[in-house]
Amino acid sequence: MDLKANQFDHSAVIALEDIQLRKAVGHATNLADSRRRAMMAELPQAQALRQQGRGAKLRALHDLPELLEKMERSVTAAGGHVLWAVDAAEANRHIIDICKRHNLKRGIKSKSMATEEIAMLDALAAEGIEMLESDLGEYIVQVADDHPSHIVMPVMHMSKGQVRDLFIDKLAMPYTDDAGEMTAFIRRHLRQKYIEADFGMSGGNFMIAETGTVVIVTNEGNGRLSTSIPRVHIAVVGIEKIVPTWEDFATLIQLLPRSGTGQRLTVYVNGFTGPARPGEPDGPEEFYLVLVDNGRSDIYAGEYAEALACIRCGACQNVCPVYKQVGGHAYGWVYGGPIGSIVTPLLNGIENAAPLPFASSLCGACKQACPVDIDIPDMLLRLRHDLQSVQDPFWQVSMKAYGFAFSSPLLFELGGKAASLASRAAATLLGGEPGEDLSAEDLNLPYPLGGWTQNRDFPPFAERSFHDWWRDNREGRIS
Amino acid sequence: MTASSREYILGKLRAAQRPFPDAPPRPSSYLTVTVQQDETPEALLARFRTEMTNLKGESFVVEDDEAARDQVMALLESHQTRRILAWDFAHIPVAGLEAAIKAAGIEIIPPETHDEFRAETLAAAEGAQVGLTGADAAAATTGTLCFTTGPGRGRIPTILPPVHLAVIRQSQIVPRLEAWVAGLRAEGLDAIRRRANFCFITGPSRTGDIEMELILGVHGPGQVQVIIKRG
Ligand code: SF4
Repeated sequence: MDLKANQFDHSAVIALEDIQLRKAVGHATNLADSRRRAMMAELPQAQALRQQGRGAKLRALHDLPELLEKMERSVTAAGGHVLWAVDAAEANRHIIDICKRHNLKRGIKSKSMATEEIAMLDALAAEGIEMLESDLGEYIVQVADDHPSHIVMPVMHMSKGQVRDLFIDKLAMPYTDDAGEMTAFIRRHLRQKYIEADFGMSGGNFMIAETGTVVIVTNEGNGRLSTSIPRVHIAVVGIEKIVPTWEDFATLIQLLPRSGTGQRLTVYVNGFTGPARPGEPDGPEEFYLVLVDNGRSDIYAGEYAEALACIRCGACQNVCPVYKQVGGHAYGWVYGGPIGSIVTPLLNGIENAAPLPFASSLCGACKQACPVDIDIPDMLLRLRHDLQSVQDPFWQVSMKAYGFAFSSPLLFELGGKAASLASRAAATLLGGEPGEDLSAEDLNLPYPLGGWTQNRDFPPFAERSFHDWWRDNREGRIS
Repeated sequence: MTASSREYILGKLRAAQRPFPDAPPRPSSYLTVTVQQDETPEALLARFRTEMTNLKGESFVVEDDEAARDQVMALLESHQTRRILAWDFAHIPVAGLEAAIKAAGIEIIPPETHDEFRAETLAAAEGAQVGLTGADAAAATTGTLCFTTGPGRGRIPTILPPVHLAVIRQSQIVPRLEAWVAGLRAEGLDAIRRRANFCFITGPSRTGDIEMELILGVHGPGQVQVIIKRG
């Protein structure tokens, strides 16, 4: 995926003015967060469990090289193959080589942020290898030629109507407004694809070093189908996903869904220890694990190793006042939201994602929500400092100005519960003049916007419209 | 250049100053995530059933083999079953079940996809109405069925057909996932090392991808029915 993180402020403004997008993202994040809260609240030892999960990840990172070797030994002992990829290009090369070796032409995959990160679909397509996303959300993304906007809810930015129109347009689905019928249509549509696929692919949520087990979680069952029926299974996993023991895994596998989707357990927790053994009736005959570094070893060696403890639950996105307003695409890369604002600059170079550490009000909600208690605000703050000391003197000067600009209206507004921009946009829709001084009560919007405003605090407009500020301060400065 | 990439990555990690030297040591005893004070068999059964119901799965408690057989047959009939995808009956704890199913004229497909009849098997499997299995264990506090693979115990009966019927004994219900893991640990994790796949299945297949609306049976079964035999 092309990196567009430096356009954050521009993309954020576009997102802010997209009423539909904000409605969808607001709805989904609020719901996901309230479910998370309920799931954590029922645990009397929630805080101690978070620390237990955190401890597991920190121990794993401390022993990372040894655990990776152990993982490799365990997978190999189980009859699987392990390949190491320094960067995205090498990971894709490995996958393509495997396809060539086994003459694999048609694949089906479950959701994986790692394959998103290495832009695998494009690399495979260039070799004429077909790859189908099977997670409903990811499939929608693929059909729409879009990108996921959230770590666990890839199309949370879309409305049901948009999905319906897409399916009618691209897949000739008969008209329906029923999400159940749309889902059933896709079930039928993909059914045969599982059976015809030469190979299945997955990411990995955890790698349990002591047994060489790669674990994925899916609610739909697509991950289990994609890895049970085809003859070859390729798992692509970031090196930081390792945990030492089954007990560590048992804690984390429960914290992940509680924080991510508000479930006690994801419906399918599926673990692979090598290929099918003699006598096992089904399952892949070949199992490959591609271990992806792609910048992680640099993070490991630096000041931000804690970012590698992330278990990608998405909880920080759901609570982030900035993410909740702009959605995931504005962040301009695979990982959006608070953790994305750390990982994107770290993996791509801070100068290539300069706005992201500022895309936060440092309110601390992310750290509080994080099941492994990652100190996101602290890392964001330190990244801001780092930006100022990037070596290039020209860069240094412009970044100082940039940092200054970002202490002004946009991020402040985004970061509070403000949404004054949205109230402006909404008022304009209602026939008001931009900049007109309406009070919060005036903004109790009629249907269809009413549902959207009811639960939100609408402050009066900022005195100056964002566009004015943008024109005066920022336009053309950063591409 | 896999070998050198491997050395390069591991070399970089080793050369780095180790992060988190003060990470807490491995706990001598781990906290369990879920709470279930009463661990008597009846309490565990009740908890498992409550969780199943909340997940929109179903459970049926039967007294003995005969009742279990009747229950399975009744459920197969309710799904108008003509064909099932099934585990080897040695791993399904109901005596006489295979004969009863055959007598009802229901075709039984074993999920064998490694032989030369793979294409035919998969085509037939796709037409099965029900997947019939046992399970390794069930975890009460999350309403979870635990599976590992092995001869006669394939993966696809749990995932391909629209209905999954699983039969377990009440004694297979453990309080929680950690208890299942403790059982594995007691045997040196041998079961995991020797088998290609483990799976926790917690309720029917579901999605919330379209506006967070709950839809069951996306790719996996929309119905999960667990028959629990006393004892
Ligand atoms: S940083 Fe924490 S809250 Fe955010 S995705 Fe990672 S684990 Fe979840």
